Amino acid sequence: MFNPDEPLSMSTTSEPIPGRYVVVFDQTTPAGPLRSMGVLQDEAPRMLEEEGYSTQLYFPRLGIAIVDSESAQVAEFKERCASRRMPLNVVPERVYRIQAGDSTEAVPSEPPFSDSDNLTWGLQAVQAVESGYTGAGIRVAVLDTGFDAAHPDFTGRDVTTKSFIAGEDANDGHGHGTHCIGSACGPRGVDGQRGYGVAPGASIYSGKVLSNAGSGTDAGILAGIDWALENDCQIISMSLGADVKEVHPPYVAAGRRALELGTLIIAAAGNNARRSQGNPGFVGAPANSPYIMSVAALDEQLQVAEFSARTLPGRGGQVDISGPGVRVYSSWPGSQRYHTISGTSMATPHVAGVAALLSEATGYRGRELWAELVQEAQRLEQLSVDVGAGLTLSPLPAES
Amino acid sequence: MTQDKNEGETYSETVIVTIRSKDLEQIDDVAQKLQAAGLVIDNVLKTLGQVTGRAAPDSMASLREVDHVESVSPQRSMGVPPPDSEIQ
Repeated sequence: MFNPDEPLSMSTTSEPIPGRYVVVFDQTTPAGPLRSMGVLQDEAPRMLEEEGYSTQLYFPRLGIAIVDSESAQVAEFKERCASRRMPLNVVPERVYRIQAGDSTEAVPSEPPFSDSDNLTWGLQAVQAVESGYTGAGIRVAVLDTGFDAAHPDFTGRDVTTKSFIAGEDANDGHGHGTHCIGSACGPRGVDGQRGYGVAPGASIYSGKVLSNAGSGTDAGILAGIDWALENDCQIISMSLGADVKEVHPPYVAAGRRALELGTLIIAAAGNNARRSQGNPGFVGAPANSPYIMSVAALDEQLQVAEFSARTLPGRGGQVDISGPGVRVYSSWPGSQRYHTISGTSMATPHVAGVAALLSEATGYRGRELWAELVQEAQRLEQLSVDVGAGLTLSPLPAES
Repeated sequence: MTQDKNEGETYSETVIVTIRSKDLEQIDDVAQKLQAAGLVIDNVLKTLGQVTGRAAPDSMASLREVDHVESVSPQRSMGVPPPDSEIQ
């Protein structure tokens, strides 16, 4: 049974006011903006009046009312509205005071992270398991060196592969692609091994745009993007690039077109920094395109990695967000099965995996998904030119 | 990630032609005109609105003049380091 007097689970320096409640008409799920406007402007205040509540403190644009009520009555009101397909949230109104001293708000997990018997440090850091979402129903394209689709950890998974390299099939003869797909979409639990994949429920689209030797060209990469768009992939992960400062026009157009179609392209910032030698590097192509999200690499302390490239001055050249990218354990082709490597290439699929969880949780795609990733990222006490919005974080679990 | 390198042939190079996003429906027409202007077409990417192909360096300017073309760029190479490299 719903208890409106139950305190919120977040820490706060506020206190509830007895007999006063904040009623929030929740129009986030159904039916679209027109219905929402009608509900909030007409139906909601009518329901309040029928209940005997004043509508003096009802804000129709917000769909929020402050009411005087017994807790039992407001609980009944919530049930009644829910049965009429008008879901409500009700919380006690609170008095707020300026916070004194340290905030005690708990961060669920803290650096330094390390791989446990069950989970890589990266999965712990992005809080993938806690979220409960798996990326189910979301299609993630990874454009890379291909994929070892026979890898035992991916048995039974929904996998689509295609090669854009002349003379090579879609199999991964390098390892990089299988490693990236592992971080984005691999399992969270493996018998006797660490789980390493952020979005194990997502459908995998592996476009081989880099050869077994690890090289590719625009023609193949753009054909891979076109293929991912045709297949309506919500997310395209590209752990590839060239260490050039010039923005490359084809990727500006490709990133913009992808967003128009509801697809977010996420790319590695680049590994051209040597920070201990005073060289912070720069974001290369295609991550420096304005409509492509650029990902920096963090280590287990959540510090920017030695090799991770810094924001390039100019439009589009910024680092947008960060992910785990040092000593990353993930899948590898053939009998080796697993490998631990570092790079912004490894950080990128972590962000792509989190994007899949967020897209599943919110329904957002394209620009909205970009905004949600940035909004939900954990800010870090480092330069924004190095880490952007900070560490990518998985969505909170759905309320039961 | 590796240094960019161009592997263009001497007599022609691979180019990426981007069609203006509002003119995407005309991509087949545009492709024909590009062909007439000297482009040997490898691929028409209809969803993305791009045409990839090969052209002699002295025909770049005429490709850029074709109606509805937003940009013509010489192809770049991209890549990742070898599998045994620690940073990838």
